[in-house]
Amino acid sequence: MVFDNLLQTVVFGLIEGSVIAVGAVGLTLSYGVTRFINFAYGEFLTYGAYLTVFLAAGVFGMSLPLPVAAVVALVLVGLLGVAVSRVFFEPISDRGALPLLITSIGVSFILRNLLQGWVGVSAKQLPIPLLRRQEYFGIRLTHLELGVVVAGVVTMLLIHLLLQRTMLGKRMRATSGNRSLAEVAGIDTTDVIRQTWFISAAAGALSGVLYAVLFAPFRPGVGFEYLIVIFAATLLGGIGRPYGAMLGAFFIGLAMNFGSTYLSANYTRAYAFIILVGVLLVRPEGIRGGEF
Amino acid sequence: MTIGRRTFLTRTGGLVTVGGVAGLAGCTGDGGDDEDEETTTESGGGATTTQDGGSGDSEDLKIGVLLPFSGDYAWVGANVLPVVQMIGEEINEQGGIGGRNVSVVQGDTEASPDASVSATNRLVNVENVDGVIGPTSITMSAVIDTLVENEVPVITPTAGTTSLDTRGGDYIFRTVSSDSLGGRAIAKAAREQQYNSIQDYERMALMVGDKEVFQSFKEPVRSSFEEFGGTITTTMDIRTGKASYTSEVQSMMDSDPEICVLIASVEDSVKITEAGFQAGYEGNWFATQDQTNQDFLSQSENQVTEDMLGLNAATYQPAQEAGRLESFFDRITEYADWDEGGKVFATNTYDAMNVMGLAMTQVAASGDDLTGPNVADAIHTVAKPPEQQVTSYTEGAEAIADGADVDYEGLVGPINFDENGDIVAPFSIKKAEGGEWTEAGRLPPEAL
Repeated sequence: MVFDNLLQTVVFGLIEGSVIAVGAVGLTLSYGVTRFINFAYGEFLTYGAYLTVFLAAGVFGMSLPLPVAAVVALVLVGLLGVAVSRVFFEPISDRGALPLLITSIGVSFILRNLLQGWVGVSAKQLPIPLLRRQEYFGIRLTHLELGVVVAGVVTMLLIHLLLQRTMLGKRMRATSGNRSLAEVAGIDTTDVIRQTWFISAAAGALSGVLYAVLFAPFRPGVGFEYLIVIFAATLLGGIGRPYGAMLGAFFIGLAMNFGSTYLSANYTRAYAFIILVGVLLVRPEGIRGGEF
Repeated sequence: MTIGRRTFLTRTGGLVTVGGVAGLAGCTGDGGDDEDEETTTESGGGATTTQDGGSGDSEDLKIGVLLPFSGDYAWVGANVLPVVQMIGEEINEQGGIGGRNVSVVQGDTEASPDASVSATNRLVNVENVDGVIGPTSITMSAVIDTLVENEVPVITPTAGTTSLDTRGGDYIFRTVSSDSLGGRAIAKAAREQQYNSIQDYERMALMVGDKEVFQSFKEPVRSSFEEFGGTITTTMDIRTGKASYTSEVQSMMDSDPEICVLIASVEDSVKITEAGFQAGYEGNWFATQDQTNQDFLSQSENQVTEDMLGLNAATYQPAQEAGRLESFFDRITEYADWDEGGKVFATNTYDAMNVMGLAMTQVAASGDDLTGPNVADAIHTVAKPPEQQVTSYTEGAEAIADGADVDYEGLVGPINFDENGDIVAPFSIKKAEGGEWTEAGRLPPEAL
């Protein structure tokens, strides 16, 4: 019984860790090449979840199957990410991190309130069936929860391949390592940054969709509220380091679920905060130092 | 694109001038100010007043509606305000009270204690209201002292909070049952099959949101269920507005209850019942008035809510048999353009506003000043038997004009306030079947 509970808690932690990991990797990728913390990132989660709901429910005149709707939403949010960076961030990209950070907070308000003005504050949920958990080797989970973990792991693998095996990945790493040097070497860093924005925003959207699968119903504030959890994972992993972010995400997921089960369920997100503060105090460079 | 110095100066100069004029306009005369105030108030809820254009504002009797008109609980204000306005118009059609028309002003509490305090101060000190309809349980404790100290008669159709059980009766009255009665009704209905049509539940768990409006129910349910011979397996306070309640539901299930009473918001209840379903919870759920509505069922899947029990205020038999309920529904659906008349708190508001109007009429008829203490005293008398029974404002006002002592008989119950300003009313136990609430049983106040 005690062991069962422990195992189950680990599983729940890994499931939520997958959602956080996808979001954290996206955030950290964009930090890697732009060097500022993007507070508008939470809105990519929100837009991902809402666009998927609308595309699947036929709000735009056609109702797509859920996976297709999710993919279309990812692409749209990716483009939104590029648009946001061109309109708001590129013009002030040489002013340092602080103006960019403050701007991103403003952008987050604009995006959130645009959505709220459009869809209202009432709660929405994805059109997915509600399933009972089934037992696999003593662990109880639904197909959807399994799907979330698979989606998380596949995304991690794809990002890994992107960074290590593709030209874009190499350019991203080069830009992240030293932008001037990359430019001297003939890399069009502006282009790399735009492509990174696309990937980063799309990853955010995917994280939002996965979140919506697990935690329905949700409201327009959902992404902004979840951002702190993603920040915690990103910082824990050492900001700007995708592999660290993945590791940090699973750690935060486990911490939140262990805290909820064994300490008090009323403080789920507070456990993420505590870790965030702890990391900043004790080891600001994160658990995983080293290269991008 | 360059702006010349001259253009720039002209523009800014223009702005200053406009600002100056606006500033001056703000300072002119009290009368103008009052009208501004009135307009601002009403635009909040997009509503119109019932005041007569001809008469001056200062002569109107003002009824403040102190409820949430924005935010998550905006539906409460939306359900109550049209009923208040409808009765207000009825009063004005009868020539007003003591020759004065009734006008309605809104105070938006936003369902937050902070906002409710400033809304109350405005109603009491700026608008000088003669009576208040509202507030809800959420903000009652924040504003009750201000209202009582300023001697404002209050009849709330919406506040079931147990904190009013031992207060009120001087200036605060309510036309809705106390949560302590509601809690007792839940305990009784769960305990005895004759009321829930499923089984005699023996073991009960409680999951209670951490807001006053939910906590108010906790103690009555718990103590009554034990009094009726049941066992409470666990009582959990849960944080409202969380993303997931998986852990909470797991601990609830670990205590092995047959039924879990869920005292939380609609949204959290959807999450909790779904988490229970996913985790394979075999027991039943019992919800309070907050979730026993179509809104909750339409957000949940039927397989989750099937056979779930819920508490509602029952229709008051004599009002239904006499056709009064039906005619109220017809009247309000036409007046407010609603698709159904039986919205939550609509009948409670009808009774609250009728009693308020009759009390003021009674004071005016006896030649006294329409002061707070006089009106509050009259609230007791116009609702008390055994004199001439009346069921609407018009009927009551005519009887008062003939010198009769009236007893208002309402839509939710006989409306006889006890020494704490509370009423008793019957409850209806609902059961969810195929996405609809059906009546499983009926609990008269005597059974509690």
